[in-house]
Amino acid sequence: MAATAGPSTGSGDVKAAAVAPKVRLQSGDKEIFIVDLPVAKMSKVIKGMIEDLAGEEDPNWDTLEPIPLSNVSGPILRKVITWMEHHYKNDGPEPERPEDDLSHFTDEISDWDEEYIKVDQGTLFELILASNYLNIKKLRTVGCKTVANVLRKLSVEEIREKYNIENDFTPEEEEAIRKENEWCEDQDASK
Amino acid sequence: MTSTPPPGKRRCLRSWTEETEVRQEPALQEDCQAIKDLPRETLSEVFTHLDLPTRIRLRKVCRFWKHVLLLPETNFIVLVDKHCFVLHSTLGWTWKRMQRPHKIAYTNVEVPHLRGFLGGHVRHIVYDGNNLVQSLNNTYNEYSFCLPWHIAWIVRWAPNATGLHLKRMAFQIMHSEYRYCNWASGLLNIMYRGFEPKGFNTNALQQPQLGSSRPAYPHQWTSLTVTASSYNKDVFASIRAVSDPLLWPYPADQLDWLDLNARRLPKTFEDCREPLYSLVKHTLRWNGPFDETVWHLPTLNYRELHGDDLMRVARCLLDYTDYYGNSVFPAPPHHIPRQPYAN
Repeated sequence: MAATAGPSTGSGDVKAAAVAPKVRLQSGDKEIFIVDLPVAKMSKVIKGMIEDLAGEEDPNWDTLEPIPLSNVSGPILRKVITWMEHHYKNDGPEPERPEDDLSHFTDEISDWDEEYIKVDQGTLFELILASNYLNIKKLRTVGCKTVANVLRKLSVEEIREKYNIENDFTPEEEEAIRKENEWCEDQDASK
Repeated sequence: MTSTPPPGKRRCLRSWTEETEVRQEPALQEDCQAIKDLPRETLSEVFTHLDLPTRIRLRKVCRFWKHVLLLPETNFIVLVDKHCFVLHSTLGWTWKRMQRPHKIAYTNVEVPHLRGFLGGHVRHIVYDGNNLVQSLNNTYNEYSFCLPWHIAWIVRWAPNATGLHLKRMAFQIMHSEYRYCNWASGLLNIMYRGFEPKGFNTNALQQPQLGSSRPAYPHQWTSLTVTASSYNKDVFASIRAVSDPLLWPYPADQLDWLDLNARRLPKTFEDCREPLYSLVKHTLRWNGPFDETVWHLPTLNYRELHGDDLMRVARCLLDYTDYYGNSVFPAPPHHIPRQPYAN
């Protein structure tokens, strides 16, 4: 984990790898993370902010104001940065895909991502919200797939109980849906 | 007096933001309420990763979910698998009955209340084969439990679909009975069977265009997209452009070996091409140009053959033995698997 809180270790990292400029990201609870510039640019939102901040000329990244990400809390941002660093190191920057590309629907979740996403439900949803806010499409897809896999295994009652969702159908409506679903109930029982 | 309002205002603002933050992390059952905080678009994205039966089932959860599940933006992509073929039936098809697919294949009962899920808004259909091994030469047999039948049902209800993505299918391209196996005709069969339903515009769908991630083994497609495109007479050429490097994934010296030895095969192997021709002609009602190149093995130009033909000839070389059962021809420079999945 290269994401460290505090500028002292950060400057040490800069000396070790003088080539890669670092940016500072500030979470909602004022925690500062120091991240390699190309890694941070995996988030389209951060990329846009950097381009706005930097303008035309190459700025001195150390003196620049930290980028505020007020909607993301510190622990979640640390987790997101871990993901970005791993995928930057292993996959490189995300390639541009055509509009009708279906690969994110058909590809399986990689082993590393599967390990990574093994977190409690609250963290999982916060990760999805954070990736939504930061516009990291691949991470959002991994999160959505994980939630979908959980939903697939649960019955309707279990879902209502687990997520504390109120059943707001009237008995008549419920009966109507039950009738429509009747022919595929057998299959549910086998799951 | 004058200095008090600004701090008060600021405090008010801060407390408001704090309140919204608190609302995002509810105190009661923090883990479990979080799904309610997902914006509608994100919930919709979660649902797009669900298969069709699960989407149908989850309508029962609450009104909001039902609303989101039936949105066109949730259903622009439909994921189906072999379990979906219970959708053919009317009521109470059990797993036991599902074991008798030839019965179900004929009960194409329309299910009107699925219109929210299927309809003109569906752009992509993803069929998850779940590593189903599908022998391509069997796809025209309507009595066998085969892929096209239950895809045809989905396609009927998705008239604007641009394509069909077959996921995790292991197509058995090469068969030990090499003479009955033709990769191109098999795929055309899927196209015709899949997109043939009555009232469906087949003209727009006559040219399959293939795009695929490279399969693990030369005989296996893990994933394949068949998209509808404008009409083009050269159907075979477009299939072959993609399939050749997959069917014959060897360097040049393998072709040298084949070129050298295949001319020494006895003439009896010539007839291996004939059944393919009749298969394509009769089962597909295909009267277009069919390359009749493999007719005379000794004089053939092996450099111009297609991948499946090369593999077929290579199989002939490997299988050919003399009177005592010994191999006649030298081993190829690169390994050719005998059975499709023996690799």
